[in-house]
Amino acid sequence: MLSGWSILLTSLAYLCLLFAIAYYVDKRADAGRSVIANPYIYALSIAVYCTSWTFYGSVGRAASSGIDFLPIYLGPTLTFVVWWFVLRKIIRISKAHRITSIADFISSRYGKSTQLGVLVTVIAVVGIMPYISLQLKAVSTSFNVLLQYPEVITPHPSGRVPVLQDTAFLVALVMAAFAILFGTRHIDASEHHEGMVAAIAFESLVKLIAFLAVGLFVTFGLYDGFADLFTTARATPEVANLLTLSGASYGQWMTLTLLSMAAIVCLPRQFQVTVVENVNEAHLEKAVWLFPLYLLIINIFVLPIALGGRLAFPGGGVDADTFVLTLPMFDQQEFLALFAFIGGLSAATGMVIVAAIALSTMVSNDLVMPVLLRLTWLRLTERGDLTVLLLFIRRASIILILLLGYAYFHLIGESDALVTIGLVSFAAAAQFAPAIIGGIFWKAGTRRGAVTGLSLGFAVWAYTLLLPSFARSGWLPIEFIDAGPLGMGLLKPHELFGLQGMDSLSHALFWSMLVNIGGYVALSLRSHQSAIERIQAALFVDVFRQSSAQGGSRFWRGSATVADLRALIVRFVGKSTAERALGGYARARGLNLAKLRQADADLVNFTERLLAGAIGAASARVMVASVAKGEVVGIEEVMKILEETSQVIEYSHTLEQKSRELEATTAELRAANERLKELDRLKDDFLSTVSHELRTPLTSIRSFSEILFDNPDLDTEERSRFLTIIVKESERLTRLINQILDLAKMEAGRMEWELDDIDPRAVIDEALAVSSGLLAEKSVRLEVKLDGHLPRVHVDRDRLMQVIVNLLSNAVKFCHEAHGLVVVSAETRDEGLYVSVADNGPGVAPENRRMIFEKFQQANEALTDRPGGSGLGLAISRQIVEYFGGRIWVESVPGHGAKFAFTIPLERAPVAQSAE
Amino acid sequence: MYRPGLVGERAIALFLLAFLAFNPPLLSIFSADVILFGVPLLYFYLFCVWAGTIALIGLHAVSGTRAAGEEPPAPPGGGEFGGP
Amino acid sequence: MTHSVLVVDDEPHILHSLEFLMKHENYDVRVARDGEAALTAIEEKRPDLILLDVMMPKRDGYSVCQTIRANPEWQDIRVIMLTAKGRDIEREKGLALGADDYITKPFSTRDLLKLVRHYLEPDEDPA
Repeated sequence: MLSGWSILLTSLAYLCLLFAIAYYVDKRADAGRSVIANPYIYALSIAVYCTSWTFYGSVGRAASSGIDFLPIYLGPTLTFVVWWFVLRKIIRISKAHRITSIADFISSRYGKSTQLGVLVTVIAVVGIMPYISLQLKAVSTSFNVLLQYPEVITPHPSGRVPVLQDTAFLVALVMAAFAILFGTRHIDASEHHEGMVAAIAFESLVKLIAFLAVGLFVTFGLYDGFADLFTTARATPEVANLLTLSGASYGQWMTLTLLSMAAIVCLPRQFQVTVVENVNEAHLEKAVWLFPLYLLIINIFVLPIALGGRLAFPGGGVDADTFVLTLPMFDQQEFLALFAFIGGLSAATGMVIVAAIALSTMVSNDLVMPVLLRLTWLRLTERGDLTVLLLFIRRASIILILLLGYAYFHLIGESDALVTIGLVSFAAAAQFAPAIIGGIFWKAGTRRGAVTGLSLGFAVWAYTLLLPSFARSGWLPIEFIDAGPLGMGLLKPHELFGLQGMDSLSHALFWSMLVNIGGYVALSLRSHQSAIERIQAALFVDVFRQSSAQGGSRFWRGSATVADLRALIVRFVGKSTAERALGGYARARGLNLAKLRQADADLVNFTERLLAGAIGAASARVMVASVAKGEVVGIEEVMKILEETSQVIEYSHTLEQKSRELEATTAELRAANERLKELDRLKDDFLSTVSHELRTPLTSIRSFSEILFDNPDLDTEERSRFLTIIVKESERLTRLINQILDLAKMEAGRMEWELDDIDPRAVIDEALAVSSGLLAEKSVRLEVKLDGHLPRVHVDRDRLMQVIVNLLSNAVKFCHEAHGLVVVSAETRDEGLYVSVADNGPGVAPENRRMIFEKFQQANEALTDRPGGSGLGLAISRQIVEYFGGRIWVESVPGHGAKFAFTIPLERAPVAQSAE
Repeated sequence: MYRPGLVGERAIALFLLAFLAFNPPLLSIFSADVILFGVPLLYFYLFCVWAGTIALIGLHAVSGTRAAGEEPPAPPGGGEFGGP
Repeated sequence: MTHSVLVVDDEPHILHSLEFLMKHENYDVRVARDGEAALTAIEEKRPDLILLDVMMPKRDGYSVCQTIRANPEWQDIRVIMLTAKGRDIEREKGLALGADDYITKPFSTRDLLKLVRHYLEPDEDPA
């Protein structure tokens, strides 16, 4: 009933259904109505993690060692617990930088290094090879088992069948065809394969349902539920040990947990579906618990099926890896068996398609293109449309990858169990973990560190896991494992450097991680980052601090024309996509690219990101560099940028200082304004006072003049008395006007000074002579105390005399009414010539000692008996003395007279400021 | 109320807890020849802890993202590119 | 009867001229040279009119004027203020403090006499 043809036809029909789904979804996506933009499809697509390994291998593992198949699924759950730190960050970074693969991610992080991209690609291809072979083996084995129906026998490894008759080879070709159909129908700048994602999600559903169906059949069909099954198993001695965990496998349990924690991120296909194909970061929020839930559900029946198989086929004649298939066959459930086969096929094709697409992207973007672009004789950078070339490279690499997988299967696959093969791949993928995790959390990680760590880890992995698998299948002498290469015991691949007591996987993981992490950290600490590395490190580690998803190094300098960049984009993504992208770019920024000739750094970066989506970061950088005449900044330029930055900082400091100065100036201005207001008020007072001082004598003059005029009959005596008053008041008026003019001249600096070396004694004598009338009039006693020798001073003689006369008249004015005494003295002091005039009047209060030298100040103070005083004398005296470079002041004990004194320096030029 | 910093702290706490629960030596306590509700104790224990962990991830993922107040960037597709 | 006039000013010459003018009009004239003296003179004998200078030592014209108006018995004393400061504010201040009139120095003797007459002999005022 289940003939080879019916199985083949069913399989093909199933694959066609998958393709139809993918095709439909792609069409919908092209029309802008995405089907896969929901978290459930996203979570199901991540479930591509469950491959034939899960579907067949887990049961096989459980049948031999019990529950230790489980850590492989607990690890991813643990990683998803910390999704907030790890997955979210990786996705955010990848979106910002248009990362297309894990190789792209690592190369981009470490300065868009081509070398790293190549290294990661090689490790991935070599590392995943066993994993692909595992799928091929599972499909071909399951097919061959199913073919035997209704017999339940495991076909013996039939020696070496000719390649063309080998089911596995045919499976490989079919899968390659599908991968090409799904993944490389066109080159896509965003590198999303919506159709493929939808197909994968569908496959995840199919394999889950198929597995659950078998599980339910075994648990509730062959047995009466879990209790019955487990009780039966417990009662069977050779199976009972599967229900508990033996102490010996603790180490491996931990190893598997750690390994799968790394694998869920580091496996190229997981990176592809989880990161690259993620259309919306928000989907992660649901997927982080949906995916572990999927794992939990699919694992519920693993142990029951394994136990059922062990109990059904006690002799060990049936390969435990096929229990999922053989148990339904055993019970003649042919449709269930076929469904189980389709489920297994689903699991295998899903993995192979995604892995092939992910690897082919890496091979084309990070291995072949960079190399081709460097081969200048190909003149690739100058050629036109490269999309065809890109597609060709990808398709070829898909075929190559599957053939490599087949080759591994053909050479080795028959000898190992599925899980063992898969774990070899896991260990290879785990080598990426230090570079990735370090790369997103540790800015100091350098390219050299990553290269060293990866290389060493990969080498150790190959030596401790890959080569022994060759040895086990006879391609290397088995002594290589047992005695070490050339008999060197220390180098035994499973007991490297004498490390014993660990299973081979834990042993390999320990050594490879030791050298990987050690090399990465040590070299990172020892080597310096280049400018671009530093920039990328900051962009990756601080991705959440960047305001938007606009990543990319902004430090491109140099020039490129818009036309060049446009041509470049067209060549890699095709004309329509290029125009759409550029149109969107221009619209978003309100630019008219048609009018723009020179591209700015922003457009250069945009182009680079866009190309990175098609050909990877490293290649994109090379391509853009070929049209942008500038180059990536060197460390000198970064230093220059830093210098400019520090200049800006300096400048802002200067600005701050200026603003502080401005504030100070403002304060000064305000103060000055206050002073001006004060001066204005003083001027007002001054004018009012001047007015008063002028009006007072005028009043007398006018009054008496009018009296004389109106009273012609006045007697002679009275008339002459009145006339005398008029004359005196006129003199007073004249004096006042002269003083005001003098003061105004002096203040304005327009006074004419006639400077000369003069003898002060003569001046004092003359002043005393001039004032003698005034002294006599008031009956004031005069004492003169002049030093024998007085130095000559360089002054204006008349002005000096004016000062002394002013002081004398002032003293006479204020001295004691009845017993007036004025003392004039002169001597030489340190400051120069010292002259003082003292009276015995009421004295000056301390608070007024400065004020009295202001104009008219005395007018407001004590005007008692002030004959002939204008209030300007002291102000003028001060102006004169200060002009001569000296100072004038008053000393007084109130009630005991005042002593006005001034000094004039010797041999000192007049103060220039007032001299015109 | 959630603080954004708390999201990370809770995630790490849950991770450490789950890591301990999923691994020896804690595991060995439950590795006994006992049947509970018809299911071996170890099996029962692992799936219960697993389910609990998943439930906690789900709870934190929802409230965590909201608490962080951070809108993930809009999905591409309508942005710079009209379509893929 | 003879009107009595008190002349207050610190400038002796101005005082002299005012005294002469008032005497010439046959008023009963007394003089004071500062504010204190003026108030003493008023208490001594109430004058009909005071010519009061503003700028004076010890007690200025405003203060004297205020004191006069504060005393109910002196309400009808006529006060004419004299000032050499020409600002309007001084005039306002004087009037606000209860002065009857205000005259700025230097003044016309005829105007002054007319003003004094106006306040002392209103009935004979031609205007």
